[in-house]
Amino acid sequence: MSETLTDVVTETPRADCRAAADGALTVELALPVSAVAPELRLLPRPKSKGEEPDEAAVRPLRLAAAGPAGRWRAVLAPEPALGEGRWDVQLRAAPDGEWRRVAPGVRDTRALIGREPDALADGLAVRVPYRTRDGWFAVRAWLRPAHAEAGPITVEPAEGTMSVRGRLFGAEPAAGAVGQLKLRGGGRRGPRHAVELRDEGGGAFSFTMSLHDLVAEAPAAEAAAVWDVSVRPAPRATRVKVARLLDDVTDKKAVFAFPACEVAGATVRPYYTVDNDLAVRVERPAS
Amino acid sequence: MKITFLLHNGYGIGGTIKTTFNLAEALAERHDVEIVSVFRHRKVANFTLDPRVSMRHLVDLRTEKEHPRHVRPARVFPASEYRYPQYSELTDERIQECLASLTSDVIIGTRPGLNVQLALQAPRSAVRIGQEHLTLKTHPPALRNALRRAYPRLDALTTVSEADANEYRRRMRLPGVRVEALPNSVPEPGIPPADSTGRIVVAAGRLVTSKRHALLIRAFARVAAERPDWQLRIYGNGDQEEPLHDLIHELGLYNNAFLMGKATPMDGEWVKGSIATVTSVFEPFGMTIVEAMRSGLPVISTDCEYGPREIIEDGVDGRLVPVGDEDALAGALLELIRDDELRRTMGAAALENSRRFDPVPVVERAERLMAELVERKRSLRSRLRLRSPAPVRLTDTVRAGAHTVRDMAMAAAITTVRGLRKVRR
Repeated sequence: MSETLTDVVTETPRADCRAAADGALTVELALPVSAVAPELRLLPRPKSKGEEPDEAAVRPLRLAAAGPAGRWRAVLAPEPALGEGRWDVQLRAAPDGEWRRVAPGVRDTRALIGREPDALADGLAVRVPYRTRDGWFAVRAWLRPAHAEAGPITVEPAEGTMSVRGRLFGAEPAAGAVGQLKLRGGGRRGPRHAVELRDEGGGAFSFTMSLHDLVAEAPAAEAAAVWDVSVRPAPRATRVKVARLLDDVTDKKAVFAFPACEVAGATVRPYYTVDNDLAVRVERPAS
Repeated sequence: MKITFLLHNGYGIGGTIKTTFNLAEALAERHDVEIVSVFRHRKVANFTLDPRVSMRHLVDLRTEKEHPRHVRPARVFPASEYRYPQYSELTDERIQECLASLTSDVIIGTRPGLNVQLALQAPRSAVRIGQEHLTLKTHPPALRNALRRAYPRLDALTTVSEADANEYRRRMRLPGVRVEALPNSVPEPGIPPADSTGRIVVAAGRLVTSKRHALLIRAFARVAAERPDWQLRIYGNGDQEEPLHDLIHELGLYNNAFLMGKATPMDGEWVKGSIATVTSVFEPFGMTIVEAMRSGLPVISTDCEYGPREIIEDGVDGRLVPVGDEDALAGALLELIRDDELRRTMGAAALENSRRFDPVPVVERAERLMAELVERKRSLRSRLRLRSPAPVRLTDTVRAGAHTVRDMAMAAAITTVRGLRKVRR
């Protein structure tokens, strides 16, 4: 009963963070004045549970005293880019101490809204600082050679169609460019549907897909099927994932909720995956 | 001074918790301040607390939920209080023990039921201040009566609006109890304010019907039709999440209106917008109004009782629109959205005018009140000690003093009026 919040706070420092449009992240922490040469680092979180984090990929962040006593600041420069995935922020208060995660403070990510990336020479790099589901401070990173940024998605339940508007970065749509839905888990030659890309001007594209075909083609044995949405800029070009990355919302899945469409006895609904990629889920009632 | 706050649950989220933290932190500059949280349900508090303020809890819900005395109903904490089901024989006992052990100069209760326990059980040597974060008018009659019996034993009662303080003065017999409005305080956010260029309308509050988010979404449909480049972001969790999602889908607003989930702190989220809205049917104070203004946002709020109109100056740093009026709300939104200059000047005015809610001036008022009460108590006690061997009972009589006759007449009158009102209902 004697455990006070004071103990918890000194145990778990909070990191304030500011994200700049160019990708730079400034992290500030208030530490007890007793902290000597504290260190901060970014540790890539393993893709699956039980896996060990890749210590070789760790990104150290140099902390420097900033302003009032006990205030420390670190800047993560835009280059080199972080690998795609989730990065945990860890602090070691003293050289002989333990690495511990930090709690999120104020996150100023306004510069990420409506970001306009420059021409992509080395691909698109995105970093969004966020609060994890269990309350820790972490950074979400994306790194893509080319990118199709999803804009408004329109579902027409009456017609059974879905329209996608977006913009391409790092690839130019040529003749024969298509928007494509590919069945997840279908393999290289698995089921897919493609429709011609419309040029909306100013680098924007759109395509409209009938959702009826998705229901007809999905393996009947499965109760649910997922179709991943991408753009193929030219007939033999590499697919470019359609995703929503150029804003401040880390976890799109819960925030961008699209209406469902009832098609041929199935429920079809576009959604953003945990990686903020656009996908379409087809659910058939268990029979 | 040694100051103790008695709080329902300092580990949760809500206006009362936030404002208690703000006040406690500001007082900690010059005083010894602690928060006693009746409950604790998680390791780390949702809101950050300055380490100079200590916080301890009385009942740990992580381990004591099934405590034999926690499943038996409370007898001291009033049954008519909103939170009564959460209180128990165990909380009665722990709160009583805690109060009896306090050596604080000032003890502050932060909700009606805790104020009652404070009034009945806190040491008489301490100044006992009850804070009212809701309003008298909205309390159920049974609770009002429970408060009528206990509150005369407080040294002071603070409300969050002048209008509510007037209600207490008019409708309750509180001889010798200082009744004062003390607004909630909001510190300056740690990041630069909004610059009026954001194309986002921000609202924050639990997703419950009384906050009327559905009305906001309907009004925003007109904004999106005219300005599809604008977004509405609503922060908070609650039981209305699903109906609100359905409404967004029904109106085809799913590319413009978003339920963001809860965000703490909100500082980083306000500044992404350039207009904030509050659509409640009732706001005792309106903490989010002040937060948004301190982030440089003009606020469009319903003109509900009581807080908004004491915070917003209509047409200067925000807009007041009638409760439940979708047209007026949409009109006010579009007026600000169409006019960049108006948004900029109102945002700047909001930033300036909300400085009066900074912890410094608010805490000065609170401090002055406490110091006066401590002084009054000291002089009263020393005088009484000379005259009487039974100071406690006499204190009541002396304190009631000149107010007694008038208050008794008023109480009778109020009872009559209330009787009439009941018949009319």
